[in-house]
Amino acid sequence: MLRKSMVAPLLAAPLLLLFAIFFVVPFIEIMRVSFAGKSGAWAGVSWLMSSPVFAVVFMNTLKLALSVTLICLVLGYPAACFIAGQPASRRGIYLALVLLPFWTSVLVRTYTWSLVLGREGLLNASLIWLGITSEPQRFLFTPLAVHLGMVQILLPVAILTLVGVMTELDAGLVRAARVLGASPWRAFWHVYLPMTKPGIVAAAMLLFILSLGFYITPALLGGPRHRTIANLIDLQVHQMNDWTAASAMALVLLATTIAAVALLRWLVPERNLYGGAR
Amino acid sequence: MSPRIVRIALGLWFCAVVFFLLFPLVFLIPLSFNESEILSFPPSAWSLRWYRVLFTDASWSGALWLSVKIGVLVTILSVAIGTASALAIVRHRLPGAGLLYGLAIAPLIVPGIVIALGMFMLFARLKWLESLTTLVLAHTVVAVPYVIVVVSAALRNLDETIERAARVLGAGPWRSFLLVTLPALRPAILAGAMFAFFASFDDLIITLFVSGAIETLPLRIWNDLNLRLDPTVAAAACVMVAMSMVGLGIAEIARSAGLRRLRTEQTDG
Repeated sequence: MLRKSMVAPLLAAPLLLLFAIFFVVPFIEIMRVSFAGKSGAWAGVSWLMSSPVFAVVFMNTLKLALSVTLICLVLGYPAACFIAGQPASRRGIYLALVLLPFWTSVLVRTYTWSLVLGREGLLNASLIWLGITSEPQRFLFTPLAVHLGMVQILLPVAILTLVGVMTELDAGLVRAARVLGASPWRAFWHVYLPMTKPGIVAAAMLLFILSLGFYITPALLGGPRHRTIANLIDLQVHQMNDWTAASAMALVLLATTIAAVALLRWLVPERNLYGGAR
Repeated sequence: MSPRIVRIALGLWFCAVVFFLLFPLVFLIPLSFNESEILSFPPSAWSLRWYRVLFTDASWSGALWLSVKIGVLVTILSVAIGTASALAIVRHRLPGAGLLYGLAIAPLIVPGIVIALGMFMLFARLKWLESLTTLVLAHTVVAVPYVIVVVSAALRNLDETIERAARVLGAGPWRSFLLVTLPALRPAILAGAMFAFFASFDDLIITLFVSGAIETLPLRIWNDLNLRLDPTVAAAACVMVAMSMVGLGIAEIARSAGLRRLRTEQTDG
């Protein structure tokens, strides 16, 4: 007969074993290579400090993550309002329209954008057919392409997180403001919007964190001129064979992510957090 | 601004957003039935040519079946490991349960490239790269958090007194789990299983770093995209979209069935 105190540790043991070998030790390996690799201690740090490419790519990654986050919030907020305003029985259908792209592989979604934006793609064909241009325009491998791709991938996350918060709100408060004579705009601005603030903050941080690590979309739609940190890490490993540099950058990426998570947990109560993550 | 106009404006905005989200995927369908070698729009002639290549060409069909096989193995492992640890975290009040939950969902937040790089460097030293076992376990790390999130949420909502009633009426811990807890968790486990399958089936980054010559479907597509634009990719992408629609359908049906059961139980007693 199993002793009762042994049940919980036994149930958790497989997870702990798997995560120790496949998650924690690999992370220690990154630390080891970047601080105690063949090229000596601090070799990773000195690479970061001296590399002109790293600084540029790191800033680009931050800027890209920030602008994608903002665009997703602006596009997603009214859409989430619409879903939250529907009767609960009909909400499922509208949510499904957002969930379907959310469930589809990031690689497939990025690939379809390359077909839409390419030289022979849908966009160029339509522009020529409409007579707006006579020559195919270059859309692929531009910042526009990377933004379109990333916004399409992350917009469902924004909408799902916001809907989660909006449906839990007390709609009576907005009605009360209206009854007491506030115009629809005032009721929205002074009552509804402040009530949804935790959702906006949660969605913003989640989107920012997820954008930081993007690899596939910038590689396929941005090309070599619009790399992110993740692309640079891959390049260092697979082409330059410089594991020290790759590890140092991975640590920077991880530190930025952890800082964003810490800020998020400090700003928002836990229960609003993972509702939108699939 | 009357509320009616606002409602119409929001509706139009929502339609535009859905169009933006869905049109690239819808656009894929006619392209995959295109006869010609060049993916131009609109297709000049229709054919099933690229689907034939996908299902008969050894490198394409091999990659597809390998991805399905790995996905199924990862799903089984994730459901077993994830359900067990959700029980440990929620039901058995394991010391440090909050910390364990944090660790378990960390792969959802840590960038995939960081996990992939760490695994690559460690397994290169251990000579574990290019192994199917390594690939399955590596995918399980990113798949198991979904099962834990969904199943532990369901466990928290489950009324513990029903389990206690079963125990009082003489069922052993194992019997009460099998006859009471497990059936109630079934919808959550099914939804978690779907999430886990697609976490593995869609994964590119970890596979790119640890799989070596083992070519899964996303890796096959990736290698092809970097060389030339083979229209078979469009057919493969369509198959992947269709599969995620089926998966979403199963998960949604499981979820709403679970909700309905919860509601009838509440109204019955």
